[in-house]
Amino acid sequence: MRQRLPLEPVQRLFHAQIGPGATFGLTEIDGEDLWLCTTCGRCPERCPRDVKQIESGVALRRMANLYDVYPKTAKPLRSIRGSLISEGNSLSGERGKRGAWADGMAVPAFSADMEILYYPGCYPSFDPRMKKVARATADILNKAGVNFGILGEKESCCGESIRKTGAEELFVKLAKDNIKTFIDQGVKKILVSSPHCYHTFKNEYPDFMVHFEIVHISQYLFELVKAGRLDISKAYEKKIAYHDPCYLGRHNKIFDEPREVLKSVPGIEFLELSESRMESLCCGGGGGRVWMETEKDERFGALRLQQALDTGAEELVTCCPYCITMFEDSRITMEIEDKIVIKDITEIIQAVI
Amino acid sequence: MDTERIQNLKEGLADGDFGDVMVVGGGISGIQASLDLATAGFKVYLVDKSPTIGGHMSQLDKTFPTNDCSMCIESPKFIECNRHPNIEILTYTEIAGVEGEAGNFSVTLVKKPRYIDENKCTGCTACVEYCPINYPDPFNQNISDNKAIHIFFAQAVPLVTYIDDTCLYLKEGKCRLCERICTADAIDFLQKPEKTTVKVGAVILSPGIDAFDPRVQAEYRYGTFANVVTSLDYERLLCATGPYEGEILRATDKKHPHNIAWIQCVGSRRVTPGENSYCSGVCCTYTQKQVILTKDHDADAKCTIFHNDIRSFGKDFERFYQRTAALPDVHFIRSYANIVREDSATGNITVRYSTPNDGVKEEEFDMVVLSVGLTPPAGMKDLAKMFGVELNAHGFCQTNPTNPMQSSRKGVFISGAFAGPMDIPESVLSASGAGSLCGELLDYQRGELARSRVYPLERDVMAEEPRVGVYVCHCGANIGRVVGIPSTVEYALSLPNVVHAEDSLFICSTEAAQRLADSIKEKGLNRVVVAACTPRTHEPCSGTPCVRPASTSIFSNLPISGNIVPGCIPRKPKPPPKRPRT
Repeated sequence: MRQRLPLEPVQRLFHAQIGPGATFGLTEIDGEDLWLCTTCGRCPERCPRDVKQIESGVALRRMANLYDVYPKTAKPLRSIRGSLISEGNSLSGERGKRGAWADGMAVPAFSADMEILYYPGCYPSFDPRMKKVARATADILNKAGVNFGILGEKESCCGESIRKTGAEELFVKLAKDNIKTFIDQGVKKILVSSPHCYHTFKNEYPDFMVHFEIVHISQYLFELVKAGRLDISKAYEKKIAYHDPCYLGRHNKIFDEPREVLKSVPGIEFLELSESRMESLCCGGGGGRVWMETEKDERFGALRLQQALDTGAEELVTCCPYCITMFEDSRITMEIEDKIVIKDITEIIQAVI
Repeated sequence: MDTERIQNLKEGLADGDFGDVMVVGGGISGIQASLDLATAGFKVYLVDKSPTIGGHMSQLDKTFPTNDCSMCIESPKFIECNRHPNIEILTYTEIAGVEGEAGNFSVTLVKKPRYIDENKCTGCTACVEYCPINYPDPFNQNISDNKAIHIFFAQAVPLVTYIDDTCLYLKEGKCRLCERICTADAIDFLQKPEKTTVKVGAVILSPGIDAFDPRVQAEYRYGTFANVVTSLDYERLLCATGPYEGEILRATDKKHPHNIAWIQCVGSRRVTPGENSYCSGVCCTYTQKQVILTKDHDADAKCTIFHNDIRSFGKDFERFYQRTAALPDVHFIRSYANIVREDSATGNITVRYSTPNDGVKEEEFDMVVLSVGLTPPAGMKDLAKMFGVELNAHGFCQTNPTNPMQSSRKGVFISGAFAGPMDIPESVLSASGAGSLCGELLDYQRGELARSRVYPLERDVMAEEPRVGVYVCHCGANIGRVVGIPSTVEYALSLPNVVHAEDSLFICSTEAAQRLADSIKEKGLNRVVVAACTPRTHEPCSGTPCVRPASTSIFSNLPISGNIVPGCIPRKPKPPPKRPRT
C-alpha cells in the first residue's frame, strides 16, 4: 500500500499539485495523474479554501480531450466514446437490445398515462450481473402495483460519467437525446437505479431548462415501505453492511432512506462500515474510472471490501451499479468470494416479499 | 441654554442614573474608552456582563510583540477606572433594552444577582475556602476547579465574590455555609435580578470577541483527545495565575510536554461549515509569542507550527516572527494539518500533513495547540438589534468604511474587535477614536456631569528626615522567579531610613493598593519605593493611593518605581531544568 493522504487514500492523486501545477503549465496533459480522480467529492466537501477539485480536474480532462492525448489507462475511453455515440451505451451493447433485460417479465413500454418511468441506465440494461438488479426492481414495482413502464431502445446513456472524462460535447448530445425522448413520451417522473443518473438528471439536466421529478430506487423503496405497499413477509437472517455510494450520499445527501429500508426488513443485523455517510470511501468507479484499469494495490474497492470484512458482515449492500461492479471485481481478485457477497438493495427486498 | 437643559434634566432625575456615555463591554477597549471620556469631562457608565471588568486580555499571559505581562498592563487600568470619579462600573449587568436617539438614549439594564452585597464584601475570601462546591473555573478555561462562590480573578474590579449557579443552595436549597462564615454579613441569597434605566447621550459598543469553539468540527478532536488544547487554554497554562501556577502540563498525565505542535487557522480562513472565511489577524503572532514563552519555560522544547502562510503584520511583528523562527528546534511548516489519532497509552497526538517534496507525513506530538480564531461574541445579534446597529455577513458590526468607529446608528460608536478581529493595540486605538467621536457629539454638555478628583493638600516634606517605605512586587511569578523577593525585603529593611518594607503578590491589585495607602498613614511615610514592573503602568496605579491618604506631599508627588520586570534587567542564566522528561 502506498502511504495514505489526509483526504485522498492514494498518494499519487494530489489535487494541490495538479491544480496549481496546471495554472503554471507544469501538469502534464498526457500524464496519468489527470485521470486518477474518481470525483468522489471528498476533497471539495472538506476543502477549507473552497477549491473546486472536481470542476478543475474535469476542465483539465477536457483539454486532454481537445488534443486527443491519453495515457495508457485512459486509452479505453476512445472505444467507450465510440460505443456511446453509435449505440447510446458504454458497454458496446446493441441499442436494439437495451430493453432485453426485461424479457419474459411483465414490463410494458412507457406511455404518457403512466405514473412513472423506470430508467435502469446502461449497466442494469447490459451488464449480466446488473441485469439481475433491473429485474429485481421491476419485480418489486410489479408486486407493489406501481403503474410504470420503460423506454427500451429509446433510452440513451445519461452521460454523467463520460462528461467527467472531459467529453462535454458528447454529454450534451446524450442529454439532448434523452430530454427529447422524455418530452416526446410525456415523462414527468423518472425512477433510476444509478445514483449517477440521479445526479445528472437532477442537478445537470436543469441547465437545459427541463425539470423532471427524479427518484432514486432507495428513496422509492422507502416511500413504498412507509406507505405499506410492500408486503415484507420473510425474514433476512444476515449480517449486512451498507456502503454509501458517493453520488447518492456525499453528492446528494441521501443517507437515511436506504438504511431505513434495510432496517425495516426483519432478521437483518445492520452494520456500519468504519467510514460511512459523509466519510464513505469511494468504490473507485466514479469519474470514468469504471472504464479504466487501476493498479491492484491502489483499488479503493479492495480497501472498502476489507472494511466490510472487518465489521464481520456476510453481505455488503449498496445501490449503485458502479459500486457493485467494482466490488464484484475486487471480490474475485482478493479471493474472498466465500467470505462476502455483494448485493443491491433491491435484491434484498425482492427476496423478502 | 444647553447647559440649562442639562441642569433641568439632572434635577429631574435621581442622582446616579444619568450620564453622558455608556460603554458596553469592559475589556481593554471599553476600559480605555471609559478612561479617555471620563478624563475629558464626561460621566461614563461602564457595563460588563462578567463579574469583573477585564475581558479576554485578563486571561492572557503575555502580550506580543514585547512579551509584557498582560495583567501588569491591564490591571492598573482597572484600578484607574475604579477610582475615577466620572466612571461608574456596572458588572454582572446585561442590556435589556434601548430607547431614544443620539443625545438622549434610555438604556434598560438588568443586574444579575451576585448574591453578595458589593458594599459589604471586603474580598477576604474566607467564604471561598469553606465553600464545598468545586466547579470548572471559566477564567482558567475549565482546566482547573474553583468554588461556587469565588472572586473571578485576583485583580478583579470590583474585588468582591459572586455566587455561581452551581451553588448547592441555589440548586438544592441546602448548605448556606458561606452565610455563617462571612463576618461582614455580605451574603444575600434573597437578591433578585435588578432592572434599572440609565439615560445617556451616546453609546460605545465594545463587546469584544469570543474565541472560536473548535468543537463545531469533529476533525479538530477538541474535547475528545485530552492533549489537544486551544490557544486560549494554552495561554492559561503558561500563566503564573493559571491552572498549574505557570507549569505547562498535559491533561492526561500532568507531565511537561516537550514536543508541541500548533495548528494555525482553526476557525479562520476556512469555508467549511461552522468556520469563518476571514483571517483573524492575531493568531500567527500570538502563536509566535507562545512559542517564545514555551522555549522560556523549557529551552529544549521542540515547537512545530503548521501554518498556511504567516500573516504577522504590524509594527515590529516581522522581527518578532524572525526572532521566533531563529530559535533552536522551532519549525514552521506550511501545510494544512489533520489530527488523526491519539495513542491510548501515552496520550500523544499524531498529526498528518503534506510537504511539497516528500509527500504526506505523519508525526507524533506530546501536545497539540489549536490556534483558534476570533468570532463575534454570543448574543451579538440581540445586542445589535437592541441598539439598532447593523451587522455584516460575518456577524461583526457593519461600520462606516471611512470611519471604522461609526456604526449605522447615530450616537452609537464601535470600539475594539466588534468592528472585526483585531489585536490589543488596535483595540485601544479604536477605543480612543470612539471616545473622541462621543466627545464631538456631546461637546455641548462636556463637564456638566463630571466631577474632578479632590486631592488633600500637599505637605512639604523636603526638610523632614526621610521615612522610606519599600514595596516589592512578585508579579505572580514574573518577577518572583528571577528576583529573591523575601531577601530583597530583608535587605531593604537593613538600609538607613527605611522604616517599612513588605512584599506583595500583585502590587497593582485593588487590595494591595489599599494596603499601601494604609501603611503610608500608619507608618507616617514620606518616601515610597515601589519595586515592580515599568513605572509607566505604576504611575497611575501607585501614585494615586500615595497622594490620597497621606495628606502629605511625597517626593515629587510620585513614588519611585524600580523597574525590575524580567527582560529589562540583565538576567542570570537559568539553571538547567530538573524536570523529568515525559
